Amino acid sequence: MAGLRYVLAIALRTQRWAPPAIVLVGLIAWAWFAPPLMLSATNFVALLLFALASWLGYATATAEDPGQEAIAVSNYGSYGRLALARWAAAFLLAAPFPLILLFGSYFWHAFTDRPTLAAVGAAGLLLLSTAACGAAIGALVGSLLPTRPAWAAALLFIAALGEAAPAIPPVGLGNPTLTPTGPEPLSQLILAIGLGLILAAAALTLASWWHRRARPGGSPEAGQHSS
Amino acid sequence: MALELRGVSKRYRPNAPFVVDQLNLSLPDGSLATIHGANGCGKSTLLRLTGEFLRLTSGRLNGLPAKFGYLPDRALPPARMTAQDYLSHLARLAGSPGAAKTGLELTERLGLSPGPSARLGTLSRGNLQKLLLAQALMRPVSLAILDEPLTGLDAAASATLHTLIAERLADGCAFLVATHEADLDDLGEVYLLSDGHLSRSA
Repeated sequence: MAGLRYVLAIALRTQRWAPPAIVLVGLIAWAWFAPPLMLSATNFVALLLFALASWLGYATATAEDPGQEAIAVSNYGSYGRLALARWAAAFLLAAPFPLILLFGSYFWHAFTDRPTLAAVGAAGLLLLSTAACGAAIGALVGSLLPTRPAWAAALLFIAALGEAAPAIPPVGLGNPTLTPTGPEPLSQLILAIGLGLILAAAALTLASWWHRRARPGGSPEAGQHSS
Repeated sequence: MALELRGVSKRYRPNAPFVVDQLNLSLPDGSLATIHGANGCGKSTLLRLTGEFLRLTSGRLNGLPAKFGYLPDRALPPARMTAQDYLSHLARLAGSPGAAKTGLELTERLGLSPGPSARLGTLSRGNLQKLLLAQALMRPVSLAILDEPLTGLDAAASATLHTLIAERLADGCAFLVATHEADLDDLGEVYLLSDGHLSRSA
């Protein structure tokens, strides 16, 4: 909890991440409210959420300069815990808005295709998995390209586009299962959500490993890092 | 024994020369080792290796605690955060929220002139150094690694830092310090790092 508070305090004061995030949040709102409102709007929103979460994952992973990061690690006790707190911060910043839109629309009867609660719940779980996966991919790109935000943004954009491909978890694999009557087939949705979470765990592990190997709190290039 | 380095070597690329070469160092509880050396000789690299912020190329590091005091040679704390918030966040990260009060007392002793509500982006180099020193020394740790702790400090703050380190040494904290100054030499062993090798200074 202390780590999450610390990361949020740093990220919210930095605000470098805000312009792209505001654009993506605006796009999510626009995609959601473009009439007629149907559960299938989740398909596009999930892609935008992946982009938003991955950008926030990148932003929280690179919000500190290497010296300050080393100070945080010396106080917190391990880089892994700090990386987890960063991922959690990105996840918590990205996930709520689409979920509020989704469940708000259901409880205010705004859907024209009247989905069941099970269908909305399934869409919610897919969105959660998407935010978790996106935030972790962003953290991974943050450890690979800490000083190159333009390249990172391009890479994250390509990753978000890749999520639209039919077999790619969690979005591409999970989206086709979202029908107004409920997830169909359920096994594919579970697979999509599960693989999304596994992907998130793998990306976070790889990010921590790579960070330790290549971008510790001060390689000779550390001073060139601009935060 | 607080910390032990055995045969520690580091080079940044496979065929690059060793920055630190087969280095041995023992740092018992309550002792201080000051590392001197020319610019670029590897002092900061040695301290980062000791804090495990860099991977060793070879060798072994024993006894590094999970949490320790650390002052990097350069750091840019969040500019919009106040000194008080900064210390509070780090104290909570360390699991000892009460340490923030000690940290504020340390900034007072070191003479942080704008006060705890100053935003970090407005602090001068010397005042920022005082704050960074306060975060490194505010908790009861068994090891503190300080990279150029005297940089930017005025004479009064340097003398206070000498006293603070002497107090922590008496409490059993071990110090590894890299500096160009001789102000802390009387507190412990002095070493010279040159061509990747460490030798005890006369």
